[in-house]
Amino acid sequence: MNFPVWDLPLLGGGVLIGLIAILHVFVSHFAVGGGLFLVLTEARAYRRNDPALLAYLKRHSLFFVLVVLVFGAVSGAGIWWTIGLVHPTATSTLIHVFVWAWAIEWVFFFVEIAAAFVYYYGWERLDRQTHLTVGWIYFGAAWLSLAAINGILTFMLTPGEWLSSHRFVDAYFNPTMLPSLLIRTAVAVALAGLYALLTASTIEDHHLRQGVTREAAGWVLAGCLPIPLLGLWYIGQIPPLAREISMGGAPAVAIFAALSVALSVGVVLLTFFGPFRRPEETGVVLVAVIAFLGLAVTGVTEWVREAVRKPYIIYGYMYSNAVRVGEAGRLGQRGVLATAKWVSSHDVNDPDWRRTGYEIFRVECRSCHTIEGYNGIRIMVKGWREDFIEYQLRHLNELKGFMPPFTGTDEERHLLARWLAGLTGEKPLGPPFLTAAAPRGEETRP
Amino acid sequence: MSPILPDPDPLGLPAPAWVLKTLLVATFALHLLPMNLIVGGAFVAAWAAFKGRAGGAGALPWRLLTGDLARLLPPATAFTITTGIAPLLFLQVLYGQLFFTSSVLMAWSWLAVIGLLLVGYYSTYGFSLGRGSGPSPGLALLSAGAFSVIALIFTNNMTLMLRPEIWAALYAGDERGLHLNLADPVLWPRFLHFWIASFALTGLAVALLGRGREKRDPETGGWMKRFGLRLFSLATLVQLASGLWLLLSLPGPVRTLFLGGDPADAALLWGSVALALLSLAVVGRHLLAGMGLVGAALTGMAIVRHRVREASLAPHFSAGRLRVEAQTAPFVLFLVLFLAGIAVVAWMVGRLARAAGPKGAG
Repeated sequence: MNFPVWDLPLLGGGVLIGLIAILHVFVSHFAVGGGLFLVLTEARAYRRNDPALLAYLKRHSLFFVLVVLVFGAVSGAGIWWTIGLVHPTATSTLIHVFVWAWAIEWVFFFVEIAAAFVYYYGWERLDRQTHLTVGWIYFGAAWLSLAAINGILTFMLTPGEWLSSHRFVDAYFNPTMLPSLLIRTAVAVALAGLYALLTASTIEDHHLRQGVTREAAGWVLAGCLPIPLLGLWYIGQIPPLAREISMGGAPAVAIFAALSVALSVGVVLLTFFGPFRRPEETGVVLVAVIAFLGLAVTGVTEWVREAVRKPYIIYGYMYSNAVRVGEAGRLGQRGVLATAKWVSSHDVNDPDWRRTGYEIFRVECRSCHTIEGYNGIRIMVKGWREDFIEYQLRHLNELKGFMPPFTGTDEERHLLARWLAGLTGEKPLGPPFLTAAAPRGEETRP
Repeated sequence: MSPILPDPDPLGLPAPAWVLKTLLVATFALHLLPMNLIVGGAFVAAWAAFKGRAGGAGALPWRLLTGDLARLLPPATAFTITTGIAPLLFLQVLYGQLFFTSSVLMAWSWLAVIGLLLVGYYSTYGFSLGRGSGPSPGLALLSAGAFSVIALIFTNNMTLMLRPEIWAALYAGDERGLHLNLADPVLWPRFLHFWIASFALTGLAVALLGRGREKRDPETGGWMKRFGLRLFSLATLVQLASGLWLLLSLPGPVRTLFLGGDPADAALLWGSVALALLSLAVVGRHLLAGMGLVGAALTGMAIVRHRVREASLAPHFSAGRLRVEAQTAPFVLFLVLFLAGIAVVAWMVGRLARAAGPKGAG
């Protein structure tokens, strides 16, 4: 309502955020766990006086720097960039609640980056004890940075006491903060092993390769081990509706949730029977398959975590379409067209009803639905009569628990139903990326 | 078309506006140093790598300079990003409703910053790790180009957010986020003023590298110092011209402030200019003192930039009038951790700098 809506055809903003976020999660958790792997393995190499293992670690640390410092840092900024473009209202809320949490996270990030450089450039220059200390500083800063961001993420699903108190402490120490932090720490350990499997497969010395491969597989298994129990704790803390959505309330979400479990089991089994039990027979193909499965687990799990938050973007405070729960009643009385700032017409009786209908769609629905592409609305209402659509809109949140209620006047709801009904039978004009704006035609009420 | 101005966030500011503004300007001034170094440094690195590829004795100092810059560029890029995050955070909390709107209007270019950053950043590593015939001038040029386009996109967004009067027409014309702010008379002089500054700063950095080299290798060290100072002086003189152009292109009411309309603003601008001129005279004899003057001029200019923003927005919005819901304890925690963080980083970098040669962690 308050901000212009970025018209991103086909994909929609949610998919764009998802694509960047999944890659970032896959790398940023490695950034945390990988630091622990480096420093613990380095200490072991000194104890055993194993120069070959140290040489591997130096190569692994270059890979680490190239993946974590560049892609990890830039993709993290990328999430921030996209949420600001796609959900400016929610981003603004998070920034206002958590500016100091972000500023604190920034301090940890700063230390983390500096430590990574000193660690990398310090291999040849620092004495062993100092080098190890820098490694521990890196891991500590990286984990604290994860902890700071984790509280902001979990706030969106379980804002808890903050809804009434508006206190920072309640916002950060929200009900799922701790279980989520422990899960993410375990994931970081597992991913450290997964990436080490990748670099280990390039070691030429057979003996060393087997040793590192088995060790790395142990990290994957150790990371995965506590996740089921922690997951139950987490699920126990999320709102009942979110639980229902993930367990059958919304079939697509339930399927993805099941897929997340199944793929995780796949990672554990493949790792156990492959690199852990038979490191000597583990080739680069198997490692690549496990890594790909790991990325897939990350993808579906993050998708489910986002999906169960519906119909909210900040639970109990703001709906997915940026309408604050507290202002929905006022919007119902005054109307969205009268309230929204960036619409081309504020008059529900505007003779160009297709244009005003589209404006209502854009303000109410566009944050989740495209017209033709992902979650495309045309196919969803195909063949529906106007009065049936109107009925659906009137009971939207009751019929579909994961959708916010329609906010607006009765006239606006009728107009939106009419516009949606008009999508059926309308032929897309040319390529879909052009037709996203097509229903705005100048056609007037017959 | 009447202007549309989104409402500020109803949650109120998490600290008094002056605290957030101070942090915004201070962290931005900090960001200027590595940012200038990677934009100008990547260009100089490309040139040095190109000259170094020629045979003969004359190529040797260029090769040494290339090596120095190749070691510098990747960490400098990391710190450009790190120090850039903080001012953007404080900008969003103070001016979010303006910044988010201009970002949506130019969404695709704004998003392109992320891709360009990946290209530019990985190219610095490609340059730095270059094997075979040595660091590739093409990769450095790719970095320099990517970073310069990012700078241009930032200039577009930072100027578009100051012009609420044109947003409604832009959005009505096209809602796909394809706009820029190229028609704004301020845009090009403002971009150039930042872009040329990067060569001046890089000149100083090269001079400093030369100073560090002088003890071991007086000839190359002295050459680097002279080359760096020439670059600094030349760029600073061009800066005077681009700065004058920028001043003249500012909207009338804003320009007037700096021409005496507001004595404090005028003193700030012309004081900073005087410091820059003074640095030209000093830097040849006392490099560090000259750099101190440049640092002071840069800080002054960062404040001038903030004053331009405030004055441009004055007809529409003032962050100072926003409601404040101060979060004191988290703010104090931030300050304490910030100081502790600086201490930890200083300790680490100090240990690395003191460790002269191979010791054998590896």
